[in-house]
Amino acid sequence: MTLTDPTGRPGSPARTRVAGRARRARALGAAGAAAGATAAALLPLLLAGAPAAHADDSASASASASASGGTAATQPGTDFLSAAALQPGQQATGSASVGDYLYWSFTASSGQQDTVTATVLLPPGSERHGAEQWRIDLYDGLRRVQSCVRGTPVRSAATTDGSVAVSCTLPRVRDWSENWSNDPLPGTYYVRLTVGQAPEQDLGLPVSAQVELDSSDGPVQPAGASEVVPLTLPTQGPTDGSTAAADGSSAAADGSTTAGDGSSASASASPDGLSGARTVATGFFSGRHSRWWWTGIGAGVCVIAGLAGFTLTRHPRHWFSWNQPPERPAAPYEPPYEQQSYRD
Amino acid sequence: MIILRRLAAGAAIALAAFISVGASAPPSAWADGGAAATATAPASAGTPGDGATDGTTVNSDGTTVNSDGIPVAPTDPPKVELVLDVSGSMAAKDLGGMTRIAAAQSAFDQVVDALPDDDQVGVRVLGASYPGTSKTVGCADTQQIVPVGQLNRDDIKTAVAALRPTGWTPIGLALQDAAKDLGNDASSRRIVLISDGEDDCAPPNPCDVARSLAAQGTHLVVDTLGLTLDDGVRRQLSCISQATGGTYTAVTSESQLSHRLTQLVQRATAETVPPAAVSGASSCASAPLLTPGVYSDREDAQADRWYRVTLAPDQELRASASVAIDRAVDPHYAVTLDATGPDGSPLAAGSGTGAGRTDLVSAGLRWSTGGSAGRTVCLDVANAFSGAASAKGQPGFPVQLTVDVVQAAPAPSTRAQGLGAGWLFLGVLAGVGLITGLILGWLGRWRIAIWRTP
Repeated sequence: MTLTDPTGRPGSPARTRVAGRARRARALGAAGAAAGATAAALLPLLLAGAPAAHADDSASASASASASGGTAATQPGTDFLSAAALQPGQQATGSASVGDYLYWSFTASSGQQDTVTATVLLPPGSERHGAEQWRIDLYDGLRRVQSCVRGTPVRSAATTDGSVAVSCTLPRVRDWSENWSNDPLPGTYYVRLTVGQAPEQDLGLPVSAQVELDSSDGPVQPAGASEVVPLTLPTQGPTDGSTAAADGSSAAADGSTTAGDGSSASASASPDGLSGARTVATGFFSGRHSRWWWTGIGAGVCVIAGLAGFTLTRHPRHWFSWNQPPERPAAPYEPPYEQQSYRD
Repeated sequence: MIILRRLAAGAAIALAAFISVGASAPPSAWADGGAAATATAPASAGTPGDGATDGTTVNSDGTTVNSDGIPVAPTDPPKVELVLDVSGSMAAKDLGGMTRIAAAQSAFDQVVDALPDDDQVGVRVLGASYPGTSKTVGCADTQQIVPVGQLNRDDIKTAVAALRPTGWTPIGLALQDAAKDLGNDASSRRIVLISDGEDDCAPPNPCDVARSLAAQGTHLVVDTLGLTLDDGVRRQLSCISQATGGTYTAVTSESQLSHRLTQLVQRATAETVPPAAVSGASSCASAPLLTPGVYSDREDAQADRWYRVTLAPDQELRASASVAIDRAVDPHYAVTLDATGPDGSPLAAGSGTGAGRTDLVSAGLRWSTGGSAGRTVCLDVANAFSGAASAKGQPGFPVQLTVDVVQAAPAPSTRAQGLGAGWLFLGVLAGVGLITGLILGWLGRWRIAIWRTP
């Protein structure tokens, strides 16, 4: 097979290169404009559609963000109900005695992976009577013990140690799981810090603890699932009469109205605007209908790319063409783009 | 060429049509999500009451129920009573150069200054008035010097400043009387016991007294502060605090005492609403019906308690039970929470096990009706504690049961599994489209070139 220019004339390499570059730029510009128009057509859909589905999420996030905060809440609680709220990146400190059970709680959303690090400043070694083993236990919203994927949740401190650090990294929070499984789900998590084994004489000595929560976002699994209602149980008894059921359900629905002091449930500390934009993006890329969106947009991208590829080969003097463009030395000027076509 | 142009135009029209279809279709898809989300709140309503406003009554066993007989949470403000040991040993001068009583008086002053006005605080003393040797009289020596009520700073400071170390150490009796001072109106109650000596009036053993007091009321916690590092005092005070879910602190300086005392009183008065008391049955048929909320109960070692919850179609039950270990037990223990049908058929189970030192063992479960008709689910909380726990004559272990009913989340759709997602997928599609376009274009040119070949 021989490929020849329709006009049959050899082209000048230099001229071809310049003209080709100019047309390539125009062709790419046209393709870009088409893609831009597509994106512009789709964007309002995303912006209009997403808030409807995620309005409740952002509402609860802002409600609980305003309810939480303050430094008093960092003093740890003594049981699940009084657990103090822990915010990502914030360091909570508390003073206690050896033998106390210190509780904090935090809220995790799907795709999040949390690491809790606790440092206990021990009483002077001269007052202690032997090695103390400190431990950190993590519970999910149903108060089921969670196992750590990384970290040292139990550590022993000799009398020569001034402090002891324990840490635990939870598995990545999933969007949905079977009822019977123990998978980590969005909702409240509880941190319990206490001394596991210690000489009996050490009980009651003063210690102080620092707890830090680090969160990282990641992919949400499983794909195509609708998120379960967060595992955040009510923190108070049923209220009186007809309001009992309604209160219970609202507490379950967003977890932000449960405790008056907001110590039990709190959301991420990100500002509303950011989290709103993030939920829109997250809803599109990982929501329940995300596969339809991905495939539909993929089909559109495929068509655009096909048209762009086709266009690139349809003009003379184009580098994407095997045929050398016609050389017209006599022509005093380049004819406009629109006029360049094959005469067939 | 014209044909090819028309093809291209057709493709453009198809793209435009796709976009417009996309414009009309997605809102419906999003709308389902929104509807499901908004349906969550009303759908999880359990058994609605009949509009009773304040028909609560307190049963003889301390449970508060509404006019339908459903347990509800009490709403009284939290109360705290400070119980101060003023026995003769408080004159010892070992807290950084201060006598124990002076340190306690100074700490009280700082605490009452730090508290908000509307806190409900009272003060009781023990061993403050009888210096003699008669055990009968000395062991009845406890008085409430400031009644539990709105914080009155001057009253407390004046009363405490007048105290002088005097008599015996009737801790058990003082705890009993302090519990009476706090009343039994189902509010959150806390006692802070400050002592420097062992009870010298047993029996009753103050540790057993504390445990039975905690079992009687709805919510009673005793925090203890020991003003000495003596072994016997520490064992007794930590036993009292463990029996009620409180804390024990060994105090070695006046500043530590005031800091810790302030912390404890603030914790007591900031307490959230205590759980509603409920009394579980020995079988499902007679079990109390629960709505979403937190409940407290007691159960003996190696025993179980039954409760019932009603679910509407497409609802999910979430339950969590924790059993506190308020006395010494054998080192390995377990708690199970089972959900069964009324006929005893097992539905779901959760368990919590452990070994060593702990304050509680907890278990949780989820179960949903699976879209069929609603049904009644029975919850069974059982424990496997052994050892000294099985001693007779002691109240049961504290159980905290939390029940919630929410909208069940459907399983991930398998219908869309044949579709793709992700940037790699998008890139492959774009690449395939581009290559197809190029090939089509080249094929077209090649054919034109062949046609034009003479």
